[in-house]
Parts: sequence; structure tokens; C-alpha cells
Amino acid sequence: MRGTARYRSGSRDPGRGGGWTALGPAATLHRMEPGGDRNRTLTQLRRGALPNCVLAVLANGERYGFELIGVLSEARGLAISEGTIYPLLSRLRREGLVETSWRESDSGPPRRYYRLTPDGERALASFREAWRSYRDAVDALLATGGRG
Amino acid sequence: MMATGRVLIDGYLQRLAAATADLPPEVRDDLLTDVRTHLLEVQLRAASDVEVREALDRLGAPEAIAAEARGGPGAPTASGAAGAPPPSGAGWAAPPPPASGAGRTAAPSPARTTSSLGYDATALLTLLFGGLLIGLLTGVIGMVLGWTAGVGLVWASRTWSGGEKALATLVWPGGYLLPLLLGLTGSQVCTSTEATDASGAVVFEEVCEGFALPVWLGIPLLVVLVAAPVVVAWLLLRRGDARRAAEHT
Repeated sequence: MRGTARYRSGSRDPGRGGGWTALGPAATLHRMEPGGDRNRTLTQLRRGALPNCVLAVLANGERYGFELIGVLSEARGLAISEGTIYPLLSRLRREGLVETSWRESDSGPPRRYYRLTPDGERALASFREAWRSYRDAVDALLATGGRG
Repeated sequence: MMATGRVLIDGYLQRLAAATADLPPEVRDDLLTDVRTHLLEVQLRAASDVEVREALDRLGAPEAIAAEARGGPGAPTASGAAGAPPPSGAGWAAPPPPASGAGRTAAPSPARTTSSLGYDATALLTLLFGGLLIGLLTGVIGMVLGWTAGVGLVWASRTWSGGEKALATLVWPGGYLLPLLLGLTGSQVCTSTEATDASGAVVFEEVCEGFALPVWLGIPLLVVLVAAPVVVAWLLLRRGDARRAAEHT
């Protein structure tokens, strides 16, 4: 799952070409205003789910920060504020769920790559399971009000 | 073309440096490195200053990033000056951060606003039963000390507001000591004697001493005396749980 050569070649780099520009304004619309979200429940829900979304992206292969944020921003419903991903990544690293390594890039500054540790994989697996049953229960109750 | 973009990025990084001055050095350096690297990638790709501005917008306010690094939005700043927004009008071109190292304070952990469930439960149990239990073992002074310890513990908790603490304190001064005392003073001692009257029938004479509340008043009063402290303690514990859950990131 390393895929180093792939990234170095830049072939999967989302920032290449028109990707960055296309992503910009749309993502801005969905950006969460700092401290301005009136729906506290949704905010809490997003905060709880986001670290696991990061783990899920990394389960698909290592990414560097800028690239990872690009992937997360494309999932519009997540409503992330991009800058807050870095403190989150730092926390995941301190918790031993991800690990990092710096590598040179052909096209730009050195990049810090993040990848899942075995602990991270376990954490993701247990969240996946818990989330499914939670989501199903909420969906069922929202749909039927318990009279299904 | 990119001269303004460069200035915007530098200003942003300086604001972030200022907003994170109170973080532990290793956390702060890590964060600044990550965001600086991110902005280098932005610079590399941005075709115009507009795109740089958009990228900075998506990153969000440096203060919001700093708040997240402290443990989430709404977390209080450890040092008022460090977390304060830049001087008005400065915008992106905020004044340079303090010289490396000068602005750093010794690694304050984010201030929590709740105490643990274990602590809160201990405080409430001591409030309710401390006077009673210690009093039974050691006498009157123990009664006062036990209850006072409970009050102290409750007031030292970070979980509850002043009003809630006052409520807990006022439930029954002395915790369950008061109902017990009322029970003692309100008890009746009745003695009955058996006698035979003139017709040969057996009659009982009952003589009661002491004071007793009528049953219609006594039983509800007893229920309130016993139930109210438990209900208040339960409510406070539940509120504490909700607050801990809200604080958990």
C-alpha cells in the first residue's frame, strides 16, 4: 500500500492541472464558518466522524497533507474547515493511529506522507462497525418513528 | 503577479504563529510546518492571487486552527494575549510574531471545564451520607465534618454552576442527617397495659409519650425528605454527564 513511486510521478496528484481551481469555490460554499454553525448536533456529529473519515482515506493508501485535504474537501457533506485537519492529523499521530515520513517531491516542497498504523486500522474497523449499526438505527427511526 | 500572494501567505503564517504562541512548542512547530508546507503547495499551483485568497479562505481563520489544536472550538485560550485576534485593521498583514521562543509559555494543557464522573459522584455521596456515616462513627463533630467535606467537594467540582452547587448545598443542610434527627425527635414511645374491666372483658390501655406528626403529613414529608436529595444528586450527575459528553472530542 505504499505507492511511493506513484505519488512521486505526480500522476495521482489532485493539485495538478485544473483540479485545484475546480475544487476551490465549490468547497468554499460548504466550508463551516468557525464558531458560526447554528446546528450544534451536526457540528458534534461531524467532529466525531471526521477523524475516522481521515483514517478511511488513508486506508486506501498513504497521502500527503495537501492531497488528503483535497480528497476530504471533495466529499462536500463533510463540511470541513481545511485548516483544522492539520491539528487533527497531529492528534492522530500522537495517538499512534497514523505515522508520517517526509519525502522529497519532484514538483514542489518536501511532503509529509501520512499512513495508517495497525492500531489505526483496528480503530477504523471498529468505528466502521459501530457507525453502520448506529446509522441504520437512526435511519430506521427517522423513517418510521419506531412504528416500522 | 504573485507578489501579493506571497504577502498574503506570509501574513497568514504570522497570524497563525501569533495565535498558537501558547501551545506546547512541539505541537506548535508541527502545526506551523504543516500549514507552511500546505501553503507552499498552494503557491505552486495558484495561477493568481485570487486563488491564493480562496485557498486561505478554505483553510479558515488561523485562530480557528489554533483553537482546534487546543482541543476544539470554544476551548478557552490559556493566555489571553496569545489567543487574541490581531490588532484591528491589520488584516493579513499582521505584525511579525515574537522572536522564536520568546512568545512560548510552558506547555499548558487545555483547561477542562468538567470534573470526572468519579469525582462528582464521590462529592454528592459525601454530601448526602457523609454527615450521617461519619456522625454515626464519631459523634456530633463528625456529623458536621462529614457534611462540610461533602459541601467542599461539591463546590470544588468544575462541572456545576454556582446555582447548581447552591441547590446541592441547600437540599437538606446536613444531608441525611436532618431526616434522621427529625425521625428521632418525632418518634413516639407507646406502652400498652392489659387490664380486665368490671364485666370481665380484656381491655388495652395505651399511653403514648413524645411527639409525632400526623400520618397524613408525616409520610409525605418523609418521602420528600428522603427523595429530594437523591433526585437533586441524580439531576446534577446527569447534567455533569451531558457536559462531559459535550466536551469530549
